[in-house]
Amino acid sequence: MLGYRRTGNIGPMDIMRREGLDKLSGRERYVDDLPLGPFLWGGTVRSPIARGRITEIRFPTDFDRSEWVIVDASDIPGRNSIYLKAHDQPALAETDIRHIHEPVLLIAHPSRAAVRKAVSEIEVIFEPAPPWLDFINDPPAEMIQHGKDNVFKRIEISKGDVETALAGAPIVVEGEYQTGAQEHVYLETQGMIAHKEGGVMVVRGSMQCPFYVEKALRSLLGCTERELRIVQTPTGGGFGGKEEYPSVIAAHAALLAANADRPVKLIYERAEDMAVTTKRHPARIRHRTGVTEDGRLLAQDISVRTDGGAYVTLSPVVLSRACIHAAGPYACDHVRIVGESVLTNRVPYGAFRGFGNPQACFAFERQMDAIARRLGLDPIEVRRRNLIRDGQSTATKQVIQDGTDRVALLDRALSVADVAGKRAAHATFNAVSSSTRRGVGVAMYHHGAGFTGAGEVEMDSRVHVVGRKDGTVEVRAASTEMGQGTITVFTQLAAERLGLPPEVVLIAPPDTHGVPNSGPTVASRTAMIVGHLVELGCDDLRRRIGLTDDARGPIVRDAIVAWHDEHDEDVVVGEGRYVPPPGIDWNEDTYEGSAYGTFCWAAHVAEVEVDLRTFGVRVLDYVAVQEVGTVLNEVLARGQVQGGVVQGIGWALLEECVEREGAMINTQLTNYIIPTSGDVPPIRVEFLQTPYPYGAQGAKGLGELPLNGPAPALTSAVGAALGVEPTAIPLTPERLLELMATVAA
Amino acid sequence: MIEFRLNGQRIEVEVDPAERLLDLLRYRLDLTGTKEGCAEGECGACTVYMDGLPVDSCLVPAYQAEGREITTIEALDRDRLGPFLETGATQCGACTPGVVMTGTWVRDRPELLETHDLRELMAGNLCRCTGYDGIIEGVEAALSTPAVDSHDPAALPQPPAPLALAGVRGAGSVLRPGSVDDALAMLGQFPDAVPIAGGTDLMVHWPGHFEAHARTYVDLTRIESLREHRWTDEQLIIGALTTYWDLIQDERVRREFPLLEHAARQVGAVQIQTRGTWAGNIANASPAADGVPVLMAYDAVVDLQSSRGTETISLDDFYLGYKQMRLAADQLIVGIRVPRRAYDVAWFDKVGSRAAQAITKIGVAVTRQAASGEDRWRVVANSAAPTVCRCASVEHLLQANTPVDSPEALMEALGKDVTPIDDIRSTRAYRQSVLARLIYFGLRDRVEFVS
Repeated sequence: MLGYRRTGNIGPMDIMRREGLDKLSGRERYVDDLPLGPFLWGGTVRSPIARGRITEIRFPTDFDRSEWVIVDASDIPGRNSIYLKAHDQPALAETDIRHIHEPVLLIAHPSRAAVRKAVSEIEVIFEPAPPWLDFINDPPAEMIQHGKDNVFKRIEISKGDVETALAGAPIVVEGEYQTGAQEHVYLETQGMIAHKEGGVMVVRGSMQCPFYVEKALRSLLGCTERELRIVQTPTGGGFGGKEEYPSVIAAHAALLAANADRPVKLIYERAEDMAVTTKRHPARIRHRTGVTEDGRLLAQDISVRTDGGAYVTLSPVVLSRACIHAAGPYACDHVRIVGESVLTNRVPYGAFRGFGNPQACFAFERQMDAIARRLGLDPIEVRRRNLIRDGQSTATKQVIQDGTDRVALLDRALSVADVAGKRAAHATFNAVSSSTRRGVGVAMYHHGAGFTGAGEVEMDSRVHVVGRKDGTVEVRAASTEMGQGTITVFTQLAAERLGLPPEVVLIAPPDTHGVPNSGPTVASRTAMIVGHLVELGCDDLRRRIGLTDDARGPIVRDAIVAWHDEHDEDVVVGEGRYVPPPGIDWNEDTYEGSAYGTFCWAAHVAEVEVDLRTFGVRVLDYVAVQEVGTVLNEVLARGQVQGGVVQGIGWALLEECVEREGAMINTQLTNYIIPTSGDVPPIRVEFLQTPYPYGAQGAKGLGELPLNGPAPALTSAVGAALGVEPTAIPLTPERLLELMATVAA
Repeated sequence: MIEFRLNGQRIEVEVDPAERLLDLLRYRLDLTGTKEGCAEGECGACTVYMDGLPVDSCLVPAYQAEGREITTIEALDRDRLGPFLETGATQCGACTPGVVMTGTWVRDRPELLETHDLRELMAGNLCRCTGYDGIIEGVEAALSTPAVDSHDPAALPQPPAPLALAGVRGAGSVLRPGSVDDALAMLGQFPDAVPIAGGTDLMVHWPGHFEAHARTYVDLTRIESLREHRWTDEQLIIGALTTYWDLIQDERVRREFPLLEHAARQVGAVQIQTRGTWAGNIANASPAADGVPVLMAYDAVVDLQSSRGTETISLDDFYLGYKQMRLAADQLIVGIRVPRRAYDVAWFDKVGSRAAQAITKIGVAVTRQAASGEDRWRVVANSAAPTVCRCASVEHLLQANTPVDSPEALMEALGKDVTPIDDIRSTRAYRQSVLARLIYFGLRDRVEFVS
């Protein structure tokens, strides 16, 4: 079933999710669902401490080694690291331990119950060392474990003269904001299956980025790309959690399979998944803002500090995005942003939808509220006065000239949400209600679409659109479907570009032996950037089969068939290759220039009711208006925004990683609390569309954007309801009670 | 060897006492549409129907399928799933089969919406992609799409021959009595045996509980006489197998004992309410139990039976300390009796960490009998002490008609009644403060004597 839905002015060709019916009917097979002959279950023995040295691994007395495949660091044929940005994170710890749950030993056995039991019984004996768990303060010498100061990455962005501007500002407002870790809670836990096939190690599993896995495993196994094949299986959610971490599981599965006579399946159960995989980086952000009495920004002095955990992973890149966005969607002539991501002996933090911007956005929007409060102005008005106008520049001196009217965007959100009406109603309501208070809050923000800085150029992404003998076309890309709609959107784009019905467009499974590297499925880049490569691939295919650029429809199909009549090859290959848009100029050393090809913009409005009995916050209404370029598929786009908003509501109000000695201890869905359908109202979504000339059909990035808004909008609404200014999230009832007590005192 | 109906077809299969229904379906019958998301009855990805009711199959011992009708996602009519596709009810698809199972169950029972909100009914299915709007709209669309009988259950593929049991088995065993007398004899004979009914507590995180696998269980679910609840002139009698859902569905319960309905609807979500029993909630002895405070507020008694005889204990006197109760190893809770009295004040407040699927952080049930006289008030707190407990000092204050003009006015009395703690879910300070506030605001809204 592949119906068409045309929905007026939105989306030139909306089709329904292509794999949707397989998912709805339970036919879609994820990694743990795949039929498999005889195989072994894998298991991971881990470090019980945050820091120290392993002295011995002790097996239970009744452990019969002959039944087991056992792998430790000495069995690694190549380099013992999970290579992405650095070689610091071992696939299996040798002696030094840097975080709790660090993998030490791998085992595999036909019985899953036996594996579970053995993992719980094999003891890692250790000499403990004191762990460093403070990312705010500088560590003493004995705690240095990376470089000279534990700093993974330091960034400085500078525009104008902040000190002079601050000194001359009539009013300086200071603020400090803190955000907590967040667990992705993709509903499908992580897992991989590895087996040897001839001389090739084949690894299949749940992942966002097959070529990241390939890169890590080539180094680990010391093999060539032909000796290694990575295949993505249908992936039950990622949100960044399956960006870098799958390389670890793939490494482990492959190491076991290399020593086994049959496939090895390594599936994380929920508690293990939550305890050991990456989380959103906790952050502490400080603002010192010089303003005029009518609320205009004169200077922004910002420091960003994030907890990177025990290894580098993606912390430098996350920090980069956080810093670039830290000044908000506002114009200011004098800006300084200093960022540091530092080591602690915690499970490494990593990619999570938004990638540093949610933290930055919480801080800059809370700071805008603080400025308004200090000046006695309406927080909406303060935003309106400072929103960046076309022709003005960001903190990195990137001139914004995209034709988006950001003030109109804000006004649209205010109007859709009826903020004026709500405020008046709340004043009346709050005067008479005995045990509840209501408030409304606004957040305005931006999100750079695609890779930061020179990332896209360095990636040199490619997509193939091939014509097959029967006249069908196949899109070959490494971009994965994880629920966000890649398969559907690529189908639409190719069908539209070639004028063919979507039924004749096939999407090849992401398989490193079957598709070119179109880059990782991250950074809201898939529809915008890779989608455009699909379009370019279509154009190239058309040229190769002897058609002009305007040829569309049955003639394309006929030409593909005709080409095959004259050629022996299986397919005719059209290639789309990344070309940077004109005017893109980024200096990685000075952090100046075009940090992103383009930005998306959003205005969110939240209405809340606070229960004075319980300090629980109920979201009554939520409006999300965003400018994302062309919307390619209304249902999918709306779903991205609603899902992102609800994930953001969770991060703002409910989700807390409770920690003890470097370990997350609430590793269950009963005590790590994500929203249910009963916790959220309908999320009202509206799009403004200013087509971006270098994105597929004018699209910009969309997936991450919505997660940035809820934390500042909701905390602002709670502030309006209660007359307090929350500066830390999650704003749990317990934390709100404390805040109220502080204010009362 | 057990026999049951699976997707309309009879099936016989040997099961291990330590095997979950979810594992039997997924790993031995190749019915992989049913997913595992949490292994604790929280996410609903493993939702199947058991005799037509949605249940979390991760919490169902496989042997309990015997004689029952089990329906999985594979049996649903594909042609009727269009509405879910059009509204965007699926994204990554991992929660989706469970969502569709619950959504389809609601679609086929629109009368549920007379008492329930759709968001409450769907709250037992966690989704991390859609933000729920696509799901809610999908169920709404399905409700308004006329049924087309294109479905031929006989056309369903026969499940493959079950794969043999493999791997390490728990050393434990299960006894499945057909009568109370048999059950009592078994409990007398095996003092370490654990009675099991809905499994919503015992089966949580089952695969990793090795010591639990080695135990002996007395499965009560075949004793039909324990299932029903009954009304007499004087009392409501709740059977040992009566579920939350059974009482939620009884209109007389809603009218006469609204706190029972109120509490039941806040236990887990539908998939738990259809399996969890009131007696199990009592025997589990958790201080966070939601069924116990409302029963206590209604002055319920517990009927215990063993081969030695019968005994009736007031629920007030049942708990001795944390997870300690007046229940001998050979005794079984065979019923709970609730006296039918008129109340002019009755409320239950549960504070969980979210709207559904939440373990109580602090809660209170308060009743006042309409008839005048001594001891009219009952104030019962949960998650405030090692057991669910009466708040005698607060009751005394109320009995004496002492004005309560602020939450602080209750603090001294509560200090004598409860001893909340800091734990993974909340803090002592929060529990203390909020318990006082719940009582204060509850009284202020309902009772005139408060100034």
